Amino acid sequence: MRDDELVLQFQQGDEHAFDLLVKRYEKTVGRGCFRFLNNVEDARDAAQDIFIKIYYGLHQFKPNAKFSTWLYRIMVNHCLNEIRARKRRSWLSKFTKDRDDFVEPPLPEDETPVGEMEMLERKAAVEAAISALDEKLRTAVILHKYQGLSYKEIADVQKISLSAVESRIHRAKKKLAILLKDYI
Amino acid sequence: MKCKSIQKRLSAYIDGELGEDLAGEISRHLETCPYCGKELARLRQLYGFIDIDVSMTDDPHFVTRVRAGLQKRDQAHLNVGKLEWWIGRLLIPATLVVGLFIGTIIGKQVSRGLLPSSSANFEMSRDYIDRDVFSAVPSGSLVDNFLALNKKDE
Repeated sequence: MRDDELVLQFQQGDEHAFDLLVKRYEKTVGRGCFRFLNNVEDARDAAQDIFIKIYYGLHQFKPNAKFSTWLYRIMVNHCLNEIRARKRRSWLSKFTKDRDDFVEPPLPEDETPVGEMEMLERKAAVEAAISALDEKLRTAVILHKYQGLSYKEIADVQKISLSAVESRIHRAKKKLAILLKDYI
Repeated sequence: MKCKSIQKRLSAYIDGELGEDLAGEISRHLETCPYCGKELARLRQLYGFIDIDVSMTDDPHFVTRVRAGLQKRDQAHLNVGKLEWWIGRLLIPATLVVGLFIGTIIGKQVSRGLLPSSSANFEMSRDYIDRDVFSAVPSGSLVDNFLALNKKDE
């Protein structure tokens, strides 16, 4: 069954239709959130919150819009808000006495195979480089590279022109190439 | 097209987001330009490098978690609704009753003379006359005459 048909069924009172939409998009949203937040637990919580927002917004959803575009828009906005909240929290934690000083323990180098270590290092470098990008560039890269959206779909999600999407992706790649120059 | 313009569109070229004509033009340029060819290779390498899969295990209870979240939120809304009902029905009349009670007590205190009355306030204001602040008043002025009149009254 198509997304718009499930949306219509839900709007007519079929709660099960919503569950089907959740099942269909949970992986996409979960992975998308992870790309933004770089943390599995945070990504899961964010995905849950996003579907809750979708549930309450779905009654007002107009059938002429594409469900997935609307869902991606909610996902991007939610994740960016979460990142901003994190920044605020980390700024405030500087002024509180009992701040969380927990530092993740280093990986046991002796026990980890070299290939795995390199992969972990690469992953960390890519995550850090993407996180260092400006919000707009980061969103464009994540939606395109990791969510597999076309430039046209990104333009619809971010409500910008096609040429703006092209420019953002080009700028993002240029920046990423600079940030990751030691690895490539 | 110049190399600079070509390089600006290389990402879209790799992504297959350009029209046939433009993509063909770039392909022809790349065949003859080693500089742009190098840039294309560099971009492809970057693409390969950042192509990392997310190691997120599937959550078999995700739908249940979402449903639980919805229920929790509904309950919270219900509680807020109840609170609003209590505020509307009880808090405003209760505030009025407490206000009336306090007003009555203050009124009684004033009538018994426990609080400074208006005559007492007048006496207090007259004490200021004796303060040094008036010592520099020039003789014969309006203020000087007023002070003299007050002293006569005492």
